[in-house]
Amino acid sequence: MRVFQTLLRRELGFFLTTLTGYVILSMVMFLIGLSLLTVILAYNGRAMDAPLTEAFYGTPFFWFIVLLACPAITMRSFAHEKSTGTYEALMTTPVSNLQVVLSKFLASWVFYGLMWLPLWGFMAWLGQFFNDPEYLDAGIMGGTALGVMLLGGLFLAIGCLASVATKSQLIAAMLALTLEMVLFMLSFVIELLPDQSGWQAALFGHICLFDHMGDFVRGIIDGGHLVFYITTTGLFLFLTWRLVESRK
Amino acid sequence: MIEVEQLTKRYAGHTALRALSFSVKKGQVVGFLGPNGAGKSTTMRIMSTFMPATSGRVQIAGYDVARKPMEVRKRIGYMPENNPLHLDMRVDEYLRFRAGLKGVSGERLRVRLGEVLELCDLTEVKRKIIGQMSKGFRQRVGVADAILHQPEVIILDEPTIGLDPHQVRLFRKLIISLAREHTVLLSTHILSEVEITCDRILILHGGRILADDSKEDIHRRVGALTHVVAEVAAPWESLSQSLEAMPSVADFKVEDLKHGFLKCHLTAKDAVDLRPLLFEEIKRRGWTLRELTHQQPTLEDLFVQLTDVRPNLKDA
Repeated sequence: MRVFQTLLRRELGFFLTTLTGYVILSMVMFLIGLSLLTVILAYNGRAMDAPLTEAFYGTPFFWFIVLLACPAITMRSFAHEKSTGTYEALMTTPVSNLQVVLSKFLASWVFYGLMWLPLWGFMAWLGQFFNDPEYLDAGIMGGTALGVMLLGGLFLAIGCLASVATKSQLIAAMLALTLEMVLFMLSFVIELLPDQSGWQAALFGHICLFDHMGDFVRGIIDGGHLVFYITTTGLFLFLTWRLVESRK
Repeated sequence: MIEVEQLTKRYAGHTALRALSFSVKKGQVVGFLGPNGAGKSTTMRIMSTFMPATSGRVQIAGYDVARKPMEVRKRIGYMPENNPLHLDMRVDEYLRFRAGLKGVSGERLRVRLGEVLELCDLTEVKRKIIGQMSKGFRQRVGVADAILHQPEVIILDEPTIGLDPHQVRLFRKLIISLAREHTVLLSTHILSEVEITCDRILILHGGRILADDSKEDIHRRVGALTHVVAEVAAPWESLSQSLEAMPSVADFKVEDLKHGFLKCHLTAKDAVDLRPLLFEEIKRRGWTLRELTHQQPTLEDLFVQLTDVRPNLKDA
């Protein structure tokens, strides 16, 4: 456990003591700011007809942030250590492969969580101007936060897999972005199906990221969604771990 | 302490190690000598559990590297090739991080940190960022890391590469001081380095052990290859006769340098130092001597003697 803490501290420390972390933070803050502006302009003088979180989710910036920030966070996790050789120094100390994979994933996830903090701040600030608390209660906030974290967890696990597969951070980022885009694009398939009752519809409905987030931002937590994120994140972390184990 | 049996490593397309076998006793300092591609780093990577072998067995302190990698890792201090470090960290911060990974904490960490900083002469620069330090300092950080948890075996891959001569000297001192408590394995392609620091030398070439010699054996081999060069003002005939008459001279060659000086290259029998003998002879004959040096053989010379092949040492 102590070894795990040491690894986690180091991984998180890297984000918080080097420029890389702050570049990502400022990029995300800029995009969150834009989304705030969009929401304010859109609802200026109009009555809210949906929870505030849904209005934020409705701006194009949400997917921008998730799709771009996740590869940027994970690209260095393994690739950087492999290219500089510190990976060899790390893997010859008494740490297990699983500890290494989980610490890198968890540090990315915690940093990803930190990155979203300004959004909750903005929400709370905007919430003061509402008469009807229904549009921003704890359930809605919690559901949204959970959705954001689960989606990020999945994308970060994909990013870890991409990073362990190569020595180049650039290739790791491109690979992660490509895999994420595939998942993103597959979410459109359900809308294109002519038959909405067959097994194809059930399958594509199950993996539709928009459906998941659509529920989360309204404060709806569906067991099916939870299972989807936990299993897929687990799968990608398992593949990452297997790749680490198979070092030749 | 280290047992290597029939170690073989094949990569797609080529074989890096061919049935390598050797053993190292506790407290020995063993040098791996060989050009690039000889298999030094591959052997060390397998010993450090970083890479699996294709076949064969390695045991360190009684533990098999393939079966009990964690036990082995607790007992080795390994500095990989090119000494990779986290350049964004400070020296003490880095060593604390590495200590954490190796399970050194609390009071033991405080004591050990002080000791290794002192031993590696890093106390004054411990708050410096590693990325801003010179190669010599970084190398010392690498060694400090390797010895931090007081491992039984220390494995250093090319520890002196890229150091200037002064740093190399300091480094040798450090290695020699480590030898008292640890079994040390280091690789290099510089002959004089292993001669000074190691008790035993394994010469690798093409994934095989070419020679497994004690320090004395290597001295003898090196001595046999050591040339003495002298520039003397003397008549050709009488100089040749004198050299022929000297019992310790194995072979010699004389060339005319013009302006009355002759240059002779001599090799000695049984690693005898020819310089004083030659000087005495020249003094006795009343000739003028303007240069008397001895030239250490290079690794290349040694290889030629051992194998009759001239390895490509350019990029080594």
